[in-house]
Amino acid sequence: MKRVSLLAAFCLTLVAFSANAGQVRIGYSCSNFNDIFQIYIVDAAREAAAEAGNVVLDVMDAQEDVIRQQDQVNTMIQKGIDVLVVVPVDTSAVQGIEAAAKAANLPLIYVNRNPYPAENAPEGVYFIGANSILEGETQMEYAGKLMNGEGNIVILMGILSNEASMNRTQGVHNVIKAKYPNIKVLAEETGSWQQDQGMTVMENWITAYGDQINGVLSNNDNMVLGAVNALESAGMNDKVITIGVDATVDALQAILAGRMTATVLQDPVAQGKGAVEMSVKLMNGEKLPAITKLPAQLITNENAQAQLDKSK
Amino acid sequence: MSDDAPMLRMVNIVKNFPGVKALKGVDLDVRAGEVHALMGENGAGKSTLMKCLIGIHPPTSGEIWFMGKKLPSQYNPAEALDMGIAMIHQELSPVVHRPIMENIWLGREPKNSFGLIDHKKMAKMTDDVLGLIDLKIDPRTPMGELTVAKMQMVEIAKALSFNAKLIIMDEPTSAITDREVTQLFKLINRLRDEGRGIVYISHKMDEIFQISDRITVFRDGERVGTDRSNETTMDRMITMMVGRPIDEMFPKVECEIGKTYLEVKNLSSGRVFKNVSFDVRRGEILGLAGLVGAGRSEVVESIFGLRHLDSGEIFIDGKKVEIKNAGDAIQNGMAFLTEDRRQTGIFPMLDIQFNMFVANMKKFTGQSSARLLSFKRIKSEVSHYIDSIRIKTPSQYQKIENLSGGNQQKVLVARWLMTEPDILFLDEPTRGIDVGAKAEIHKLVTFIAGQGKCVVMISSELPEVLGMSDRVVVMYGGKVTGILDNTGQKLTQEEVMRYASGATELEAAGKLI
Amino acid sequence: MAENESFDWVRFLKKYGIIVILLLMVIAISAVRPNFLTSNNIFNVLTQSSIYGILALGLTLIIISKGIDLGAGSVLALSGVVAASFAQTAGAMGRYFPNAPEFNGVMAIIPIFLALIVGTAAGFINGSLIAKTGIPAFIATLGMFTIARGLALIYTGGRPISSLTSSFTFFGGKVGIVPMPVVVWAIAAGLTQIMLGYTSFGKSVYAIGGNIKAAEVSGIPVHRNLILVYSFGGLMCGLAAVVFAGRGQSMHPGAAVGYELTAIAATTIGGTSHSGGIGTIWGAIVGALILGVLRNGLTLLGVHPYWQQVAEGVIIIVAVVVDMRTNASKK
Repeated sequence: MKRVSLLAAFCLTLVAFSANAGQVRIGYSCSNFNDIFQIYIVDAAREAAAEAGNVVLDVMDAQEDVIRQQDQVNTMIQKGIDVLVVVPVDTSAVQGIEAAAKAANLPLIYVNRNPYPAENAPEGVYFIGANSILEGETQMEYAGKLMNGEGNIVILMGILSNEASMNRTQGVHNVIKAKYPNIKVLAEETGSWQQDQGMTVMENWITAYGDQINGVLSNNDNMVLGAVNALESAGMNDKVITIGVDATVDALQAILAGRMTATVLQDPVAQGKGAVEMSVKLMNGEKLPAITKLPAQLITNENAQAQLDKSK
Repeated sequence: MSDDAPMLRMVNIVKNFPGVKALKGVDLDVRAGEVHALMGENGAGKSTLMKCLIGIHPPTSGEIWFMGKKLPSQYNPAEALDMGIAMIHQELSPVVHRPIMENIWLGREPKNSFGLIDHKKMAKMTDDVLGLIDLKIDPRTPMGELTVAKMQMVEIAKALSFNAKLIIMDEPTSAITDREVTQLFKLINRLRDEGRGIVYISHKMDEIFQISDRITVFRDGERVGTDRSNETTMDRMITMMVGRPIDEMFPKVECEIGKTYLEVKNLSSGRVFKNVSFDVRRGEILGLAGLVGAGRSEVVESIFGLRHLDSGEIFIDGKKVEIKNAGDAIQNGMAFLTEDRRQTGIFPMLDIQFNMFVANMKKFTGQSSARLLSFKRIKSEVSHYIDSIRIKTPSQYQKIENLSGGNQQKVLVARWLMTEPDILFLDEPTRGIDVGAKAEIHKLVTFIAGQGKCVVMISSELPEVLGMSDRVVVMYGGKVTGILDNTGQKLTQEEVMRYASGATELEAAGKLI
Repeated sequence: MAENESFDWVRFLKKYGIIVILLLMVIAISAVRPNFLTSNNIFNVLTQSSIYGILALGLTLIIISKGIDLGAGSVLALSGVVAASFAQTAGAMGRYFPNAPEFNGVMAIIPIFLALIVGTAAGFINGSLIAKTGIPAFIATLGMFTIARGLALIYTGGRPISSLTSSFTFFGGKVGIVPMPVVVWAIAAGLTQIMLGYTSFGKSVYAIGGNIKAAEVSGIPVHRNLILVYSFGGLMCGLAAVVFAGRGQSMHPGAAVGYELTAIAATTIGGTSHSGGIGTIWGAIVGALILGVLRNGLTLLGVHPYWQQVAEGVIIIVAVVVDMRTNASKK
């Protein structure tokens, strides 16, 4: 009896799978649902999948945990997918994911976080996203211009081990070194991507450096919004340049209200949509470049409204 | 070493702890082939002296001579063991999941030529050592499966495996049955005959007279005196211990017994007890006698709402009451001094004040809507009780665990007296406390009954039951086997034992003549 | 003996050792960085300590009762997002309840009450599970740790809730130079102290943690009071959420990750014993301030962020070891 029912279950499974033939099944492992920017990317991917019609998108949350992400990838491969899309939790620890994809003979697309900044991705591995270093550079170019090449800045960093955190900070330093030798970095500290911690760190900096601070460059918008709160309470906000990354709705509104100077857009819609479109093209046998870099766009109060309308 | 020179001589030992002089210059000698008993109230200094001897606390000053050699001023328990001094602690702490043999040879396991533990050899060695005391147990049995008495035997065997010349036993009979006590005494006699010295610490007077050759009494960190056991009397010992003669251990005062106040009918709870009925009158002390496991504590716990009752009724002053928890019981004027002071009585890390008022919080709640406790009233009432029942403590803010067992017990008695109960349940009220405190508790209980309250007292010490009670309820196997009158013609221990051992039941069934 | 000596240092340190540690830290930091002791910075430290300081009030009761609450940060986030969704301004983008009126002014009481109710409910569930099923507090609250976080994410779809009314964010702001989070913390601490020290419920918490069986024998409604203890812990999460949302002027479902651990650390540094029965509210406050001063001070000193984490861990361990030694030396 038992054996018969097992067999029946097996046949049913086969039928279920074959019914899906002609579809593109994408397994999407998100780094962290707590990160609003990742949610934007996922939403864009979902929308693109719905538009395409023949795409099944399966999204999982790795909760910033390398091991959990590995397990999820393996589970999705077991479940049966055609393309693996991953926002890596840790860009330096992707060997396991790549080995699993290779063993299952699946194309692998990294989104948003690039394990191959030197553009030397192995075969069958792709990347779409912004260039974190470039984002940092864009921030500093604009800040340097506003400051006329003189003054002091502080840098709010994300979680210290994240690629985006290290590279955006690196980008800021690159520009200072190359173009603005008279701008000094007073301090850099982590706000763990969180608004309240950005606020706490900024409050302490105000005590420590006070009027010496001319600019705050933050690895993301969340933290710089916290810094803006702190600067406002200290009555310093109109004197300090505040620049984030991500162009979240809150940040765009703050820019329009004149509370925040600028943000750098790494377009989540282009990333999410791009990942789905790349998957479909790969399934259709098209050849794609290994690395697709989206431009980093500076958003100030001139173009914030347009961007806000798009986000709606 | 000549024959009459003592094996152990401790001379003028002083031990100071911060703020306390625990030993004020104590001498002690123990001869080879003698059982030397140490007595004294808790905190008198006997345990401290032994801890100095086995190297747990180095003495502040004084000399220790053992087997003719002067010992260094500081050494640790492992070194003491190597010299031949072993102690069997009151609370054994074996590695329960590991076999007997590993417990005995822990840290000195026999090795084979690869340097690995030789289990076969270890088992053989263990057999040999257990054989020394005629103990036949598989050396591979986990310690946890042994009874306390067997564990003690194994500890003694372990001491012998170190070839201990002097063995200290701290309250060895506190947790074992009478039969096991007999076996233990046989073993002690044998060790004495082999020429070893035994130091025997106990509160139990009858045992001490039975087993010891000499008795040394301590009081307040000093040695009061040493007597030969066959030349002294219990009264003299008690007088030495408490520093004043105790005319009466059981100061039972006959008082007027009023009408029935508490009545329980047909209480049953699973297999633990069945159809238990009895009543208590105002001013009466009702003894609850029986062997361990007869269900006495469980009956009282059920009446007090701590244990589920399958059936039965409880009446107070003729009215039926429902008691679902201890809160209900206290509301109905009951109080319950539990058997296990540490487990269910004291809050060890909290102060005396807290330990006293904890069951009385309603009493000290203010009238305002915030219902705050009045610490002014708490403080004055607590200090009233500390004075009136003479609890020895520097202040009511002392942690209760810093008090002696007897004083802890008095705090608990005070806790319940403060609730102004009509019915007081006492479960083994004098267990583990010293003679002086015992007599005071007895006096207190008599006084309470004299005020027209009902007292129900469980005790495993028959002299206590007979000395204190007006009537005795005897239980056996979860049933009441007899309710005996003790007011006119006093009961004898033998009579009560006949009911407590189930003999009367068998007689009634015609199985025993 | 001891009374005859001029001053009993041992007893003093035993009781007030952590205050001495706090003062030493303050003195050391202000010696190097004089701007540490400006009124602005002092208010900063107090404000920054207030959120986990409020959580620590609830955790003090819970830990005294020999329990633990690992879900405090998640419950904070859940009660925060629920409250914030009712506290958006009328013209806010992505408004949760577009047809609801704007709860501004006195009406801000509604979202604030919602935060307190959601928090208390989560605590009530924790307490009921622990008291009725007897599962360890560690497990029950570990469950709540992920459940509450998950619910917060489901409720918001992972998005932060911003554009909050000014009345709702009042408790995160300042009145004059006085930060409201500190006022909220101080009032909550005062009331908790009265409850813990001067009511029969408060004393029963010590009894339950000190010896649960003896507490039962003493007529204390152990189960009911355990549920109350955890409900109070939840209430503090709700209160902390109001302050949190007010401070950031938005509420994120991923907020306050790890706050429970900071609050547990503050409570522990403050001398509350995980063996139950011992602990004080003022200790929890001093513990929270030690962590606050440490974080603020290390930033002022310009210590590298990696080393700040190490320093924090060292302080926690040292404080607890000192506390255990002083408590143990009494025996």
